[in-house]
Amino acid sequence: MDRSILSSTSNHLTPLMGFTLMAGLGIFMLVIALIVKRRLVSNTRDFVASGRRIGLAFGTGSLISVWTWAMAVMMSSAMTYRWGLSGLFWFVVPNGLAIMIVIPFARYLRKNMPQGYTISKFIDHRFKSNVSSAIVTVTMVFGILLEIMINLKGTSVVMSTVFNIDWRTATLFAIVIILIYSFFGGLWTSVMTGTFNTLMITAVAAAIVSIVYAKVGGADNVFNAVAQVATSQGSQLAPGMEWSGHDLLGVTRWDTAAGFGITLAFGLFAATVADQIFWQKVWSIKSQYVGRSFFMAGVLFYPIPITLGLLGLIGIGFQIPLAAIGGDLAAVGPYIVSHIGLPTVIVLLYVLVILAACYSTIDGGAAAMASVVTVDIVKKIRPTIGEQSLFVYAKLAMLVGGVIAAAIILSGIDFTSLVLTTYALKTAILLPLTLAIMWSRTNSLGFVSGIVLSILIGMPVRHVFGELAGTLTILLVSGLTVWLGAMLKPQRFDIASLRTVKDALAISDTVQDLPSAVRPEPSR
Amino acid sequence: MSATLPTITLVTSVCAVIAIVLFMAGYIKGFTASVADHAAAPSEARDDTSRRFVWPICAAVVASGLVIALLGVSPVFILLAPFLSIISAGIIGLLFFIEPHLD
Repeated sequence: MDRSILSSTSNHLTPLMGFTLMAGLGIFMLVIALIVKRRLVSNTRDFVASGRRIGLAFGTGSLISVWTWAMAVMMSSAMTYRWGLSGLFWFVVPNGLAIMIVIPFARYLRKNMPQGYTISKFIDHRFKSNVSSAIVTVTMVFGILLEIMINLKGTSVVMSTVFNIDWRTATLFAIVIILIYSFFGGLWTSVMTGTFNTLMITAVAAAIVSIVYAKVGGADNVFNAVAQVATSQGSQLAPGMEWSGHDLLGVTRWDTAAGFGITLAFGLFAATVADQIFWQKVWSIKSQYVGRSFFMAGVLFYPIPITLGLLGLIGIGFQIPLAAIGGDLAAVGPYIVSHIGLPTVIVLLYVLVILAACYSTIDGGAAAMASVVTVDIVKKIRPTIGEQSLFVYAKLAMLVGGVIAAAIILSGIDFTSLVLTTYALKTAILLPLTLAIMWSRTNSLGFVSGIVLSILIGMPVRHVFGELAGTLTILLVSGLTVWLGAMLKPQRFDIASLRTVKDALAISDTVQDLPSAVRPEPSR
Repeated sequence: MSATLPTITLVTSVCAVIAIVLFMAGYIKGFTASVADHAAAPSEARDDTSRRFVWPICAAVVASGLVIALLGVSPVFILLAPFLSIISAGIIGLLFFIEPHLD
């Protein structure tokens, strides 16, 4: 495959086009949001939990959309470009599993705490400990902020690569658009827009990838080119990142597993099990569909990164050097689509796919932020707060969360430390949280100590010996400490007692009459 | 770009369009049903009586790995991979129609 044919179509892809795309998708989402607000949102419970009425299809579609991050859409091709099919394997397989492993915890907790909203609230009731619930709340907030930031970053990467828009401008433009439409409708808006976005990242993306392959000479051409690159002496994407001598068409490269695969797998499991974006769905989907929604979402998610990852093979076939795409592996997909002479409409559609993934994850994060703030912070501090005021806080939480995330990115601060902190917290919380749900002997001593000790010990190990050693250490220490805590302070928790937990957002009888646009709903 | 797309690309595109139509039809139906459900009185929460998922999850994980491994066996599987995404979209569209008849 001759790399000299690659040339930017930037003459046709103006910044104005990019802004129009972003705004156009936003306006479309806004229309959906306004309809949702009018027809589906009557109170805070509808805003943060969709009244617990999300069905199977919308549950499946919205779960897929919040999990398919903008970066994930681009990272599947990035990992393929870097490692060959082994990279795609280790990126994709744990990704779908990460959604599905939530199932047993989700079903168990939904059955035993049917009136829940957040995982922090579960911990609060489980341990009756402000320290425990505070740790989980902080972790959830950090996690949501990080997801918003990473997706904003992904948006700026694609907009700057394809349309030459300044990344700061793209970031600001995107967050303003998303916050505007998310403001109306909360979780229902996120569900409806997210499900539509799932259509973009499945059927539309599939057609685009097929057209891209036709443009570069077909699957045979790419397949043979990749095989040739693997045997070409000295072929590499960058110094230290060789293609030569590696099995680029196989899935058994151990260096891929050790290089990122295993660590990513645990990180992904923590990303779903210890993520309020998913727990919000657990309590918002109709109870009889929780298991099936998560299962269908996991299964139907798999083809998405597999399809988009095929672009990475083209990157290898052309032997595109990393420097040509600005040093960012994630840019290989947008680079290929915008440099092989495709019709402008196809390039624009691809960008829409990325934007769809970005918007849906960010608005999902905003909705999750609303649930954490209202249930775990505002209601905790002011238990008798009225419905109208609570509704205001829910909306404010979304706005403030989005603004903070955008501000961190725009400041230019290297948010690596936030990434590391969130990673540490989520990985540290993974085993204690699952044990808190499934093992009646877990106590607050083990829970808190497990999280704290695993971070104190595991993060230095990670720093000295690498990610894999650090991740395994964190998991081992956290799990062992929970067990030790149970031995030191034997007690059993009757999880069935959580069935009596009242709906934290149930409207009290003392609430003043509300304007006609907001009507009270009887407690469910 | 060549005026004549390869047959496989045409077939993929047509299938994508069919899946999009199915999906949107389901989406509209689902939205209407959600609005009606919202207006209705709250119903009793029902237990999740679906079966255990251990073996289906294992099968899904193995299948995903197998699909990726097959991509490196023959270019035919590279051509077929996008159809899986199209099928995902189609299944979600179908779920909207199937859902009212579940349980």
